[in-house]
Amino acid sequence: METNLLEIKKLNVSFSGFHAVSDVDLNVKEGEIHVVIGPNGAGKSTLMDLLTGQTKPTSGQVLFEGNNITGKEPGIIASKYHIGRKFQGPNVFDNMTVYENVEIALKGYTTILKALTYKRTKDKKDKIKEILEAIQLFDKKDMMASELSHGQRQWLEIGMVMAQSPKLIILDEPVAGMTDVETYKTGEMVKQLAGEHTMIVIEHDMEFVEQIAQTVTVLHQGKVLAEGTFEEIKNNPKVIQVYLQDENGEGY
Amino acid sequence: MLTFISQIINGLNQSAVLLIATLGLLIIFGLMNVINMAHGEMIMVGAFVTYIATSILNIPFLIALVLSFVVTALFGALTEVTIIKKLYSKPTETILATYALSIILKEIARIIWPLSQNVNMPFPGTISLGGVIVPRYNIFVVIMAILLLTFTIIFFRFTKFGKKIGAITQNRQMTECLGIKTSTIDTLTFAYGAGLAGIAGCILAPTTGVSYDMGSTYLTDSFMTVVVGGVQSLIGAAFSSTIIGEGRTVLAGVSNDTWAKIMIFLAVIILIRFKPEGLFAKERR
Amino acid sequence: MKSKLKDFPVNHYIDIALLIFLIFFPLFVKTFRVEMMSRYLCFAIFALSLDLLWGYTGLLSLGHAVLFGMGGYMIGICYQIQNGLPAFMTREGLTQIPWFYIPLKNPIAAAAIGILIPALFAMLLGFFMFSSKIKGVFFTIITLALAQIFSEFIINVQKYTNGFNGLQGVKRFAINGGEQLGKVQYYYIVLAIAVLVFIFCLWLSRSRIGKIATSIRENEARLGFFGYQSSHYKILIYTISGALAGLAGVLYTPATSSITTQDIGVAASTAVVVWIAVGGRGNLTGAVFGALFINWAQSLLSEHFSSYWQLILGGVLLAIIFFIPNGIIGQIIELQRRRTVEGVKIKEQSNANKGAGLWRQIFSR
Repeated sequence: METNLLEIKKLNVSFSGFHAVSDVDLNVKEGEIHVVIGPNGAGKSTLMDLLTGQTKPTSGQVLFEGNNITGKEPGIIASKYHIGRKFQGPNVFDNMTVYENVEIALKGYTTILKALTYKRTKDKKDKIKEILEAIQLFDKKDMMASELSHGQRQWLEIGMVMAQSPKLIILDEPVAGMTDVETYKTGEMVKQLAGEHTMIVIEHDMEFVEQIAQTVTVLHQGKVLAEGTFEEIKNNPKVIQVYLQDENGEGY
Repeated sequence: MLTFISQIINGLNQSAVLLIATLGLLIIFGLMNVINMAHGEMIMVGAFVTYIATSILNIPFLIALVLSFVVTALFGALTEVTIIKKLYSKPTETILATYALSIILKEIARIIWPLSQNVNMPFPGTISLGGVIVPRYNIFVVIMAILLLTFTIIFFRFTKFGKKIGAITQNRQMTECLGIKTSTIDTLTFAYGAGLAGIAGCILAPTTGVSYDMGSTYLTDSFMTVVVGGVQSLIGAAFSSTIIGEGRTVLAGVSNDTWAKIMIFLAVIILIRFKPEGLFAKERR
Repeated sequence: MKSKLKDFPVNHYIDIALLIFLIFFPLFVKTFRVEMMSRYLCFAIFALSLDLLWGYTGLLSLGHAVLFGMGGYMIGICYQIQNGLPAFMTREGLTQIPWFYIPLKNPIAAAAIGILIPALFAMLLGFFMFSSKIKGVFFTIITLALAQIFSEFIINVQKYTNGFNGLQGVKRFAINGGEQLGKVQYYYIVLAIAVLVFIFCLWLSRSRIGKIATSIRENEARLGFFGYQSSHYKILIYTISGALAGLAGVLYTPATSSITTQDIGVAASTAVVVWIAVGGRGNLTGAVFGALFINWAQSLLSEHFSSYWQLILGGVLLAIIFFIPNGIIGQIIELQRRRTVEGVKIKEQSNANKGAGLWRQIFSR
């Protein structure tokens, strides 16, 4: 029996009457890769914003390791509860080196007093090296983040999230704008991370979803439409209908 | 009591001037997200246009008012095309470049007119309002402020052009996709904001005289008015310029001008800490 | 070894060259030039203080001379009250030295207070400005307003500050009525302090605090999601910057023997921004170079163009933004970087050819 790391119960949020997320229940098991898919405007990113504190829910609960984290500040959720998030589009520190980008994200040195005691010890160097190797950027550690390609910047941000040693990693469209080769590499990276970390991934690219997903949740118009393995979802008539609608341009 | 009432009426005049000066800054900052550090110098340009028109060319004041709008708006358009447009999405550079422009304008004006110049009072004489003697010109200034505010609100809420600008503020890329030339709209918006600064300069000219440094403090004064009123609210600007204008006049009556400025400054800083969206901000998602 | 030399950041060569130049400078010039250079060294410290705030943390202050002036005025006042009530206070009707000036009578205490007050002031202003999430431009304009109001305030409280006339006759740290320091001696003291400040700034910029400050400049929102309270760091850096600006003022007043409202207002605040913009921000060398270079140029040119100097500064600033946005030193560093990066890319291309086969294998599974 695997335990649930994250439990979302009857979560709701509405913006001036528009229900972006309504009555969403979602459980994420420890160590799994949980992919959330759905057409544009289905409320995927909003749901993640609710988890990481960017948006406050109207009602409902978010439990992380049994702790109620509903409506807490983003900084607290990141540093106290160790939920790391990679945002849509590369969101890195452009005019800093790759190495510095990862180093800044290292967990445990966020307050001024802690930052003063920070030393680049061997452990930390090893840890950063390990991360940089995992995201295949070790040989580019002295380059500025702005000098990397789009895909490499996405990986750098994944690396930064890893440096936080989070218990839960949220990846928001990690392969957007990547070439096929880069997408495949990213999938392998994500699979390597699984087990040690629990992951929620939002994605459109179905090949990528197939490559990594253990559980898939489909969101549609702010509600959970279906949940299951990739095979189950692929053959679910309701899901097919929603996606077919989209292709006809009616779902948007 | 009578002095207090006369102070209030006096303050109304200051508020009106402040509102006119602020409108231009508010439009450029609120809609285009650009801080024009040369805003004060655009006021100065309007004032010098008025001086040249009325004192040298003997053109009637009301025509000079229109001229100061047109010339400063053209100057604003030129600034937008040559400087601002090249620096979009680089806020620091925009601040620095317009700041450099403000220094250059001020210095050129200083070299040409090192001394303050006079503009004849267009509506001389006074009238009595319940025992308080008020210069007729002050009444003209208050009416102008109300007219300009009303016109600007109508312009942005109800005309096609105004709605386009609103759309750009909401979503620039989307608007571009709909085939609206955002670049032209930016230039026109900036020009309109600059033109309003020109009118402010024209209106100030007869009372304060025209000098190279007359606009310097208006940048910060207008900005503080925007902070108090909320960045995207024209009505908020009307309220906040009244509060600041009245507050300053009354405080200056109690102590002196400098202390009044310090008090307002402290109040604005405290406001930034506890209500950064301003007193009259519309609720936004 | 050869590659190590190439990797050594080019700006440190400039730092070392500048230092050697400054050490030997007094041996070759007349004393009044040495006195001038002491003043410019104070400006260099002042520029460093703003570089921490603007170059590293991304917070542009257009009123930094206020903090400089607070330091400068403390020492200025110190030497007004050495021999009882100064003439300007008597003229304004004061019968005794105001109580809050008494601690300033000792020059060393005055120097310490001159560092402390701007630091505390910056901390307080920072608390109000940075605690709410407002755009950086708010800070810029509020500091501009501060500069406008502060010089007006100093003029207004004439009985305490001698108003528009400023404070004259400030001694180079004569203690207990003793002799003041010699001009060349004072130069070396200022140089030594400037070097210490530079080393401190270098240490700070390379420490984790400095990196966090840089990340605030680059992407403050992202930093927040890592659990950082960026406002704390902004307040900290502003406080440090205030202390250093105050220190620069404390050293400056004795170097010119006077301080007036000209040294603390909008024009002075603009000047330091221009120095950094010209030299290049965020690398320390640029701030020092810009301060020394522009002031030296000013002293040479102002004989002919003194009334056009502000105009020239404005023009230079505009030109720099459009043609060398990194500043002179920043541009040199950028050129060196680009060379190394291109070197890496060439190596990478030859490696990529080897790697391609592997990827084809993976994909043909």
